[in-house]
Amino acid sequence: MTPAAPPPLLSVEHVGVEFPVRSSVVGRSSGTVRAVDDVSFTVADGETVGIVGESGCGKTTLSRCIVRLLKPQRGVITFHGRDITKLSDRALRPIRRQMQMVFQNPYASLNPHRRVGVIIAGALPKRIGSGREADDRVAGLLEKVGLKPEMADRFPAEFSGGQRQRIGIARALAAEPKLIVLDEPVSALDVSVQAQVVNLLGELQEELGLAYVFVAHDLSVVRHVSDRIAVMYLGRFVEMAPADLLYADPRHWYTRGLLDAVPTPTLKARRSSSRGILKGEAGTVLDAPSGCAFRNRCPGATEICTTTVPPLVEEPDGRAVACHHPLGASAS
Amino acid sequence: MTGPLLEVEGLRVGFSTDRGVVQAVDDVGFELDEGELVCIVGESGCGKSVTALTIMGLTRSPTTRIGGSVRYEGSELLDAPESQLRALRGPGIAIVFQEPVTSLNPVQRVGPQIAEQIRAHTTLDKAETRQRVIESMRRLGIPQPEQRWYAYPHELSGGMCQRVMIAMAMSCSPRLLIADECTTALDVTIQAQILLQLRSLCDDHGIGVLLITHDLGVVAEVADRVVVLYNGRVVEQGTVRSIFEDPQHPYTWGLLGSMPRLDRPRREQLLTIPGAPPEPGTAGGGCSFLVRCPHAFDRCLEEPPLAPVPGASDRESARCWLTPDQRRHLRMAGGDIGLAPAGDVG
Repeated sequence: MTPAAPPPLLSVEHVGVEFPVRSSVVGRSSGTVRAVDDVSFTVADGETVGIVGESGCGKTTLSRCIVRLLKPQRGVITFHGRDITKLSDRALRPIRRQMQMVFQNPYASLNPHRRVGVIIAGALPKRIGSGREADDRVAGLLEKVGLKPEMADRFPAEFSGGQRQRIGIARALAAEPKLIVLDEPVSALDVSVQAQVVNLLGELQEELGLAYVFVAHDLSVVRHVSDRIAVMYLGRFVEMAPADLLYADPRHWYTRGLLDAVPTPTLKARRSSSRGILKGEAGTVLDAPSGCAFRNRCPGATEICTTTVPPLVEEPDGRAVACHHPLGASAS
Repeated sequence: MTGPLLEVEGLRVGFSTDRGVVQAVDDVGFELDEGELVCIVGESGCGKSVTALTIMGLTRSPTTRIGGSVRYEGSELLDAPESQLRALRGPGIAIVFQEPVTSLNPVQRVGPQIAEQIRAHTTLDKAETRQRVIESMRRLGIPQPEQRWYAYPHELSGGMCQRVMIAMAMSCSPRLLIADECTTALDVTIQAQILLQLRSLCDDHGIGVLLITHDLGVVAEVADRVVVLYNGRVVEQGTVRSIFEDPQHPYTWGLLGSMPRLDRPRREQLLTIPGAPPEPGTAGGGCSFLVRCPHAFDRCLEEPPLAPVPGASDRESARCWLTPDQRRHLRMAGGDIGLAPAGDVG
């Protein structure tokens, strides 16, 4: 044991998830598809790691893996130094208190037949029970997320999307977690409400020292909240870097293409044909090309990219890129 | 042609419900010229989609009350007979909806779906129709259009389905294209491709495009002029330059400040608008933004008119009681609005 570096809060090593592929609804499995392939990263206490990618890249599958709503076929997930990859549901229960999840759709993730107070109280630690103390806790949590304590008696249907997402956050906080996995927590919300929730998440993190894994497709939101960001493409991390570095100086062609495609509300970036726009579409992991999955859209692809999957190589400045011909490499 | 391609004036759309009339659109007006891209921007329930559908004559029903005026090339559409509208839909005005996958017929191949419109509006024979569909698909960047003719919608990605929808809308060479949140369901890289194509429809083919969106980023990228809607009313309109460099309405400031931006420091507090967008038809008296506005004062209890912005072009207007001096002052004071300093347009 080296006393110097404490183990990270969460460590994901070479995780892979496969799903069976059926040719028809009743058909037999005709093979497997790798939704997540060889993904590794760590999250430190109080840190926010963002994961971005387009639809079908595996980001939701990965986030479900982290809280073990899914069991990965390969790799190891360690939380607080304990291997949780193969734990049973029963053994997971106390650990799940410390790692909570906030879901994308605030309309589907709250039980419509339960009062909000009951929904939140259900996630409180057992020692608190269900009496006066629990009520106080629920009231406190509602206030913490910017709602009124009296709202505990209402049903989810009485709330707007933004308020529901706050309830989802209150429920996650009720368990007193160390880590919250947020899967597209603001993408269903209106812009003005989205900003409120983003600010709230920032305040809560500062106050409670939470760590976040923030999964989203919106690069501007992810950059805003994250310390480090991983870019995912068809099941793999193609680049991982400190947030500012990733945006200022992307190394992977896909990262640069994504950044170029983000519409920003300034006139500086008026769309012009000279700006790089990625051609083609990501497709799915089912029809990914051999070698580097991005090669058929990549302007810099060569022979080697068709045969060899580029490994994610760590660089001294804390970033990692999986590309045979990374951007800016010729300069160094 | 002298006048604008499309003129909307004092448009009001109300839906009769059990709870009374819900006024979804309340006094919306704007103009759109040939080869111009106008964006209608607003949050959910602001009436942007109802406006688009009403222009197409798609909200007509016994329970809908429509008032005001919609003129296409000078002729009134609101009281036009259905037959006239039908002749216009396609060759005159075409619309693309938000959900490409659900807007297409799932049990018909996409080629014939596009061809249907051409058959209805032209006298082209089968081979010519097919040629035109394939041409239209190719122009939208659909690879191998000859093979795609036979594809069913479920065999295509969301981006491809949206291209098919646009190809369908463009197949009769309309002069006005209405795109209702047509890139919202798509990934950013695909969105960028489609926006570029919309822009080229304006620039290269002189088509007028009305783009409905909630994303100010999209607006900044492609719009010529912008109409900001709030609770069924136009709160501000102007050129894209004026909206981003010299926005007049506190709601527009709020929208701009709410967006995390790649060119601003991380983790900076975002400017937020308190509360949530109102349900359609819940407007009380006075300014509809009153309850969420941090700068409201006594006079706001009275509904402000949509007034021209002094010193700006005649098409710039805002619905706010604050004087231009007060607005400038407030914006300077609130550096957190996150506005780019004027004059940095490339």
